[in-house]
Amino acid sequence: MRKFLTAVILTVVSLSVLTKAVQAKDHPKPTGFVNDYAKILSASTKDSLEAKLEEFKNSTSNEISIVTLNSLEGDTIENVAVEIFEQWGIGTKKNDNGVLLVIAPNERELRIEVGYGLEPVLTDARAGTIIRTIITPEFKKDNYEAGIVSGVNAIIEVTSKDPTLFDTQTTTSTSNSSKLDALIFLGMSLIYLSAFLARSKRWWPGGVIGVILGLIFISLTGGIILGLLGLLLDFLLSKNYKKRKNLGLPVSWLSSMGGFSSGRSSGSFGGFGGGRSGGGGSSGSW
Amino acid sequence: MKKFLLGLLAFAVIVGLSLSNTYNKLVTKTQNVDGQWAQVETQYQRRFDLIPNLVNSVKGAFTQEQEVFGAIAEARTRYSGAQSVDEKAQAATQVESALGRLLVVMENYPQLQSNTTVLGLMDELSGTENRVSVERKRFNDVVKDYNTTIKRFPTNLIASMFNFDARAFFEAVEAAKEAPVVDLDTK
Repeated sequence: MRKFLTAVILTVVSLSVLTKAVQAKDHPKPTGFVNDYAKILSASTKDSLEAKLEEFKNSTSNEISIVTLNSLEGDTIENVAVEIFEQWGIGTKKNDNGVLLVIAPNERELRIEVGYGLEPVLTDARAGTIIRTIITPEFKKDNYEAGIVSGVNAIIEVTSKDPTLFDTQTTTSTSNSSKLDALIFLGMSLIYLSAFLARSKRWWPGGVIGVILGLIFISLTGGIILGLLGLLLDFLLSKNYKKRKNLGLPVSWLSSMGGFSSGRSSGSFGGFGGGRSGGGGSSGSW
Repeated sequence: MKKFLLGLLAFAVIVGLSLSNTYNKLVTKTQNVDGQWAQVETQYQRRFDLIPNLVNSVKGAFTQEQEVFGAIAEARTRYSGAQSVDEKAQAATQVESALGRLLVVMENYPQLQSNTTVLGLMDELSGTENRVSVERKRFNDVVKDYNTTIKRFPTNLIASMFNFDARAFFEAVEAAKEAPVVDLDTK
């Protein structure tokens, strides 16, 4: 009887298993932010780009990845870019804030693929302008390194400092930039405040600041809520600061706020955050 | 006797559970298909909204070929009037071919190639076209997944019991495979 039941259970379980067919080409797993399969970058440029992109991720959570390919294997660069983006999951899962720069030197095509979350900031037009005005002029002179480095810098600028840097229309940019400046200032001051709170071992300063801010901007209840949040934040930050110090990680002013350490080993690349893209961005050729 | 009844009960429970399991799975997959189609339509709408900007930027430069603007306007009207999913898909294809004709004509005006506003709009338009094709590809993927599920045994029994029918893929329209030809010698 028991055997019969087990058989039935096993049959039911195995019947409900559905095998998923793999359609798209399987791309190799990323070995870092920079994946130079076509070998057009020197080792020192690769290392400095890798460090820059890691720092960018730690301070803004945006993930930029660079891929150079020997061949597109007959596929369009748009398809390949979307496939790689899907398989690697660039950007955090919550914010979908990833950017992928794909370069195919043999087909002389490139593409900036933008994740859903960054599409409002790095619009198709801005990506296209970066490609046309910054990257392809260098590529036409065979300066791949210069083109890639300045392209990456431009992407970093647009996604963290000034989104309107590459705007072609002048109508709406002026009214938004002052609001953006205020927000950036607020953001920077919050980062420094948090770094300050982290360094102090006691955690009541966070609570006090929270209460004051809440009372000023909201009301009594807001003050109490913000006070509690401030306490919690300071507690977490102080803990994180201590942990990072013990691990020997950098505790400079900027990095002690961001980069909540996950304690991973220094050799291997942990992968990207699982973000998605929907085909936004721009392509170019030279 | 009691053991036999207990065994039967257990068997019935297992079958019932797996039935509801499968039914729910089919429901989820149908929702995936519908949800993904909505994504495709979102991108159609995005393209629809971009077109007037492009038309306005290039209209002044065209010395002839004004009929392409008429074709675009008509295609857009048809798209906004389309109700069912099939009508919308067909209207979207018409918009695409009208747009294709406009783009071909634009290539005859080199001054447009260096106009930064036009270039920005062209970037947005090709970005939108790419998004349309990405969402369509994803739509076909979920339709394939769903169709495979309802056709495999024994799920197909439950599927037909509850009227889960196969869904149509998004097929490339035959006309779209030919590049649009513009005859400039008519006037």
